[in-house]
Amino acid sequence: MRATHTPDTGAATGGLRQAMAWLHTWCGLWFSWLLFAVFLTGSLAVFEGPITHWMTPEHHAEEEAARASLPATAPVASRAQRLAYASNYMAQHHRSKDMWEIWPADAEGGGELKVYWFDEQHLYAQAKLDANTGAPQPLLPPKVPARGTLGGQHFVDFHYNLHGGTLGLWIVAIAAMVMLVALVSGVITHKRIFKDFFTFRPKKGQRSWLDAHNVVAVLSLPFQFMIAYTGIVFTATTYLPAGVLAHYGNDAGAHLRYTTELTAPGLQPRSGIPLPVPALEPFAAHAVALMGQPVRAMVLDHPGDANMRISVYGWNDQKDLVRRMSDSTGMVAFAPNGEVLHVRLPGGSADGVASFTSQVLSNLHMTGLGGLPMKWLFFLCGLAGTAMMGTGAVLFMVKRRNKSLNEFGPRTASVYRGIEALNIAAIAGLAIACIAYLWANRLLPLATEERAVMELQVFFGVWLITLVHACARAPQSAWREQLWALAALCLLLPLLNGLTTDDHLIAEVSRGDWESAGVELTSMVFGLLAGWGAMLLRARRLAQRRGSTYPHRDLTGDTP
Amino acid sequence: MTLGPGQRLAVRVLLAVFAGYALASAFAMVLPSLLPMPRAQAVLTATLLGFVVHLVATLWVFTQPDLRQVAAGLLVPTGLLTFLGLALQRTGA
Repeated sequence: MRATHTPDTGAATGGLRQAMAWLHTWCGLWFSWLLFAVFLTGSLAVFEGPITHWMTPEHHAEEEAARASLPATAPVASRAQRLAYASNYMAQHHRSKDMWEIWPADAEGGGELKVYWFDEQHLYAQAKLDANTGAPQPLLPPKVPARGTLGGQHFVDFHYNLHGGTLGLWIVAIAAMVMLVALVSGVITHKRIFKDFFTFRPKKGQRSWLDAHNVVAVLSLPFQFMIAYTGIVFTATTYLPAGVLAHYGNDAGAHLRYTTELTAPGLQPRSGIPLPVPALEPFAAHAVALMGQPVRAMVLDHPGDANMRISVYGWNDQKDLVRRMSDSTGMVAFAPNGEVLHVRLPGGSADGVASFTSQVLSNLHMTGLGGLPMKWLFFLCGLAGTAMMGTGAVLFMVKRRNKSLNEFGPRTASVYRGIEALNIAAIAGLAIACIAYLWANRLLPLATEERAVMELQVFFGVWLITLVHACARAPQSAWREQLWALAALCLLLPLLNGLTTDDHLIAEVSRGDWESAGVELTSMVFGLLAGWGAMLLRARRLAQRRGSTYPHRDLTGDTP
Repeated sequence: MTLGPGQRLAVRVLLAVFAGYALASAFAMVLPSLLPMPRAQAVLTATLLGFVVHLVATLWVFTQPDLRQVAAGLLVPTGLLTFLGLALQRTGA
């Protein structure tokens, strides 16, 4: 952007609406590609479970068998016995640790007995005990799966950190902040927001793209605000640590002290007066009566000190979670003499309004309440957000195809060409990469080394290829070819599954495996949409060849 | 010293990103001392609101044409809030 060719950048000029329009355009453009990727993978992440299920067909038989023999988890040792084993183990091996955490049993009273504590690096450490004898058991390495895959987890991870660790987390958070800026500036720019919601002028080129952008945005606006803000809330104190730093210090344990105080208020500092750890069962029994949930975990802060606190956490009931705003469990905290210090009912706000709000916001982002209908609603709203990013990015170019705005001086044409290519790779290309990931799951041999990583490499490799393709081909051809490729891969997914496994769509439907069938049917719907898009482009090209129906010519297109 | 339009835009973006973040940080540092709620709850409240502060600051940066006013409008409150925050911490409030 050379100063001599651009008299003004347009930033903060004109009235409020003009300034906001400028901000919306440029925040939108530079971040729409990344946000498109975050939104598409985030929408797919809503159905992480079904996608993982589809990607691990070898597990289907095991799952069926497990479901058939469900009530086999009879309690082996009583809760009192398990708690005593755990307490003895911790007293023998980890007496000096300031926090003991005991997971006595599953919600039915059976299952594993585990203990946790924080090691010297403030990281969780754990041991597993034999529930019948209390003897420590070696932690077995996880079973090697028949088909190594990240499954739907890939979409979850990618949508919040791009598989890029802390750096990726920050990049996505910055994109979320920019999205909030673009949303507010978009709303201010767009004064007739309600009227335009009912306006759609098809087959009018730029006007249609603008209408489409407005309709999907306005339709899902509350969702978009909510999802961007709640996305930031998850790791708020990572992004904005000033409050924690100022009030808890900047040593390694500071954040832990903050979260402990946040989720378990009222803990007193160590008194220095020793007091033996009492029998835990009476506390567990009392807590169950108060909070109405079975015991999931018991946490002992300052064990062996007179100011020791014993907290009991409950198991959430899946059916109950569907109806709750907050997914926090019940919790009762006791003084060592049995006095009740704090009671939080399941989903309650007794810890404080801020942690309740934060819990509700996080739970909202993860579709914690409402069950399957809510998941579909979030999926569709997420796709509306995806469409908002996509139509916005396309609109930027469509506006400039007819009339260059010369924002980049003499390099404007080549910058436009680059933006056009990025649009194609970011929109059609990413969608192809997502479906290619599912294809890789079926086509890579089961014996492949580091198979899960290979699947990811296919995802990123295909995405890169689409970018190269978009740069090499004229934009109109690249759009059309990538949309056709997307349509083919999506529509043929059930066929691929039928050829590579012993299963097929009709069998899935007839035995009621709607998770597998849902993945394939949804893929086919995406395939039809992509094919429809490709057909529209083809029709438009033919019309342009005849040179009459659409008067405007594509300056950057491949029309002769 | 006069800046070209491109440079002025760069300064504006830097102010929005970093001065806006500094203002949000100073806000998140001071507010917990003033809120009548337990410390952890107050820190979380202030942090969650801090993002809103940064958002509003950014929008304002891109509506105010005068860059000097933009810089002053962000940096002066940041300085005052930081000073207040340190003073409140010293008094143990």
